[in-house]
Amino acid sequence: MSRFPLLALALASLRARLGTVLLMVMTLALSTLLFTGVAKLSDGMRASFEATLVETDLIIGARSAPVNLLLATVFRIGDPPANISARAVRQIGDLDEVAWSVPLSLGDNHRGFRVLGTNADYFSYYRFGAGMPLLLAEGRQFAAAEDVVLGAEVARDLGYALGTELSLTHGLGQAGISDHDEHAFRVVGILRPTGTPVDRTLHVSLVAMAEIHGQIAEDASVSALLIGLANKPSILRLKRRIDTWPDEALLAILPGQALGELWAVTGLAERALLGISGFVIIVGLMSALTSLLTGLAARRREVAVLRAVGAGPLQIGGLLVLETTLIGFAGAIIGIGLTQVGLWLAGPMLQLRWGLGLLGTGLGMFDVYVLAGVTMAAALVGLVPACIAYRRTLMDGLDIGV
Amino acid sequence: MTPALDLDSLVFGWPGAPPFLAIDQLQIERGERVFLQGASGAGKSTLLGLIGGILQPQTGHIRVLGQDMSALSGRARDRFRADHLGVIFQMFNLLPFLGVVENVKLGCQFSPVRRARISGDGREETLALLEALGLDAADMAKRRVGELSVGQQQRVAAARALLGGPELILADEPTSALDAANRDQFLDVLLEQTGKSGAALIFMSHDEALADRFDRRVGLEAIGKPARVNPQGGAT
Ligand SMILES: Nc1ncnc2c1ncn2[C@@H]1O[C@H](COP(=O)(O)OP(=O)(O)O)[C@@H](O)[C@H]1O
Ligand SMILES: [Mg+2]
Repeated sequence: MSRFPLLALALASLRARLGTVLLMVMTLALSTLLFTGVAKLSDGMRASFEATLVETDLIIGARSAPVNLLLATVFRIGDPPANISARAVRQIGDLDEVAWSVPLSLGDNHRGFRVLGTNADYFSYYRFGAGMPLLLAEGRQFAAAEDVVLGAEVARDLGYALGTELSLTHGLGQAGISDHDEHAFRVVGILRPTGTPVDRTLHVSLVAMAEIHGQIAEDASVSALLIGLANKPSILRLKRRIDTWPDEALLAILPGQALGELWAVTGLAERALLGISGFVIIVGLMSALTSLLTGLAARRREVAVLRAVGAGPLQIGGLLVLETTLIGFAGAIIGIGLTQVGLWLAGPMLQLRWGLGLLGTGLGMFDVYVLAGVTMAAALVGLVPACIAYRRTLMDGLDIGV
Repeated sequence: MTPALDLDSLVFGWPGAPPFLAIDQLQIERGERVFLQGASGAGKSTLLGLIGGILQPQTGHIRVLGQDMSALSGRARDRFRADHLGVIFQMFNLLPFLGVVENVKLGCQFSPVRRARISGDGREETLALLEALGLDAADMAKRRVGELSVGQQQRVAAARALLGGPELILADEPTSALDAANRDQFLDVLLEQTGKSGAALIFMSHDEALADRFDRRVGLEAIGKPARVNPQGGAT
C-alpha cells in the first residue's frame, strides 16, 4: 500500500464499514437511476418523436391549432377538425414551389388501428429516422381499391398475412355498424418495422377511402397534405400564402416548429420531474453526510494514530474527502449502469404497450456529466467531515482523549 | 552530534488559557533512554505534542535532532515527525481496518526516508520486529487487530514506532493499560529493541516504579513548574 497510501487507507476503511458504505452507495445509485432515467426517457421520446417524420417541409390541413394538426397527421392522435377540399389539394399541388405533395385521409379505425388513405407517393416520399424510406417486408404497394398495406405491428398483432381478407367500416369500426358500410379488403403488402406510428397504420388508396365514405375519389376531400419544397428558402412565403388561402381556412405548419410548441408545454413537466429527481440525489447525499458525521467521533482515535505516523491535517481531510468521493463515484456508476439495464429491459415493453419508441438513450456525454456531477457533489459533502477533522487535528495535539 | 532533544526556555499554554507548561532546560542525548515522570495532568501528553511538532510553544525552542521545530512549516513538521519519530500511545494504537502487518508498516507509510531504510515492501522487517518483540509473527500476520490482547496491541504499536529506524521514540504511558506481568515483558522488549536500534527513548509515565530500568529519570514537575500567571492557571 505504499504507492498511494491515502487511497489504500480509504479503501481499507471503506471495506471495514462495508454495510454502511453499501447503503450509501445504493442510496446514491438509486437516486442517480431516477435522475438519469427521467432524463433519458424524456430525451428518448423526444428524439423518437422528432424522427417520426423527416424531410417533410410543411404539413397543410384545415385551420386548427398547429399542435393539433401535427398530432393528428404525424402521430395519428386525435382527428383533424375539418378537411381540405379536392380543389385546394389540386391547386396546392400545382404551385411552383411544391416539389411533391402527399395526401393523407384519416378517419377510420380497424380493430384499434388507424386506417390511412393515401397514394403511392406516400411510399416514395415518407421518410423517418435518419432519412429512411418505408420498405416492404413482404408483398407490394396497393394498386386496386381493395388492396391494403399493413404496418408491421398491425400484421403482427392481428395475425394478418398476405392475402388475409378483412373488412373496413366507416366509423370507429369496433362494433360493426350497418352492413352497407362494409368493404372487403385484401392484404397485399406488409411494411418493415419503423418504430413510428406507421407500424400501427393500415394503408389503403384514396380511391378505397373515398368509396368507404361513399364519395368519388376525384371530389373527395383529404385530411392533410405532406409537402416537399422545390426550393427551401421559399418555405415561409409559402406558409404565409397557405395560411391566407382565399377560398378556405387552411393552416401550414413546419413539423419541427410545431413539435417545438409541443415540447414547450411538456418541457415544463419534464423539467419539474428532472428537478425533483435532482433533489432526490441531494437527499441521498445528505443522508450519507448524516452517517458520515455520526461515524466521525469514532474515528478520532484513527486520526490521532495517522497524525502520529506523520499524516498532515490536509492528508487527514483528504482521506475523508477521498472516501466520500469513492462512494459517490461508485453510486453514480451503478446508477448509470442500472439506467441502461432498465432501458434495455423496459424499452421493448414501452414500444409494445404504448408504441413509444426510445432513441438515443445509450451512454453519452450526459452520463459523463452526471458521473462527474454526482462524484463532485459527493466530494463536496465529504468536505464537511474533512473540515471538522482538519480543525480538530490542529487543536487536539496528539492526545487521543480516552 | 546534536542531542536527540534539546528544550530551551519553553513556555506553552492551550489556546485561550494561561501558560500551562514551562521548561527551562531539558537535553536528551542520542540513544539515551529517559524516564519522564509526571502525575496525571502534569502535561506529559502535551509535551508529546510539542516534541512531535503538532503543538507550538508560545516562546522558547524545541530542537529535535538539531532541528528547530518552530523553524519548520506545519507540513514540514509532519514530514519531520514521519521521518524521525516513533510514537506509542497508551491504548488504541492500531487502525482497526488494517491487518497487523499493515498497521506496523503504517510507521513508514508517510516517510520515504524510513521506507528507504527497509527492504522491499517491509514485510520481512515487520515480521522480524514482531518476532523480536516476543510475538508469534506468523500467527500475527493472519490476525485482525481487534482479536489481539492489549499487551499484544502495545507490542505491535512498538514495532510500528521502531520500523524504519527513527532516531527518537516517544512512548506516552504505553504500559498503563497493562497488568504487571505484561508491563514488565513489554518494558523488557521495548528497551532491548530501542537499545538495538540506537534510538533515543522518552518513556512518559506516572508510575515511579518503572524508573530504575532507564538510563535517567526526569521529573516533569522538577524541570519546569507551570508558570502560575494567576492562581487558577494550569495544572495540578
Ligand atoms: N486539546 C486541549 N485543549 C485544552 N486543554 C487541553 C487539551 N488537551 C489537554 N489539555 C489540558 O492540558 C492539561 C495536561 O494534560 P496532559 O498533557 O494530557 O497531561 P498528562 O498527559 O500528563 O496526563 C490538562 O489540564 C488538560 O485539561
Ligand atoms: Mg497523557
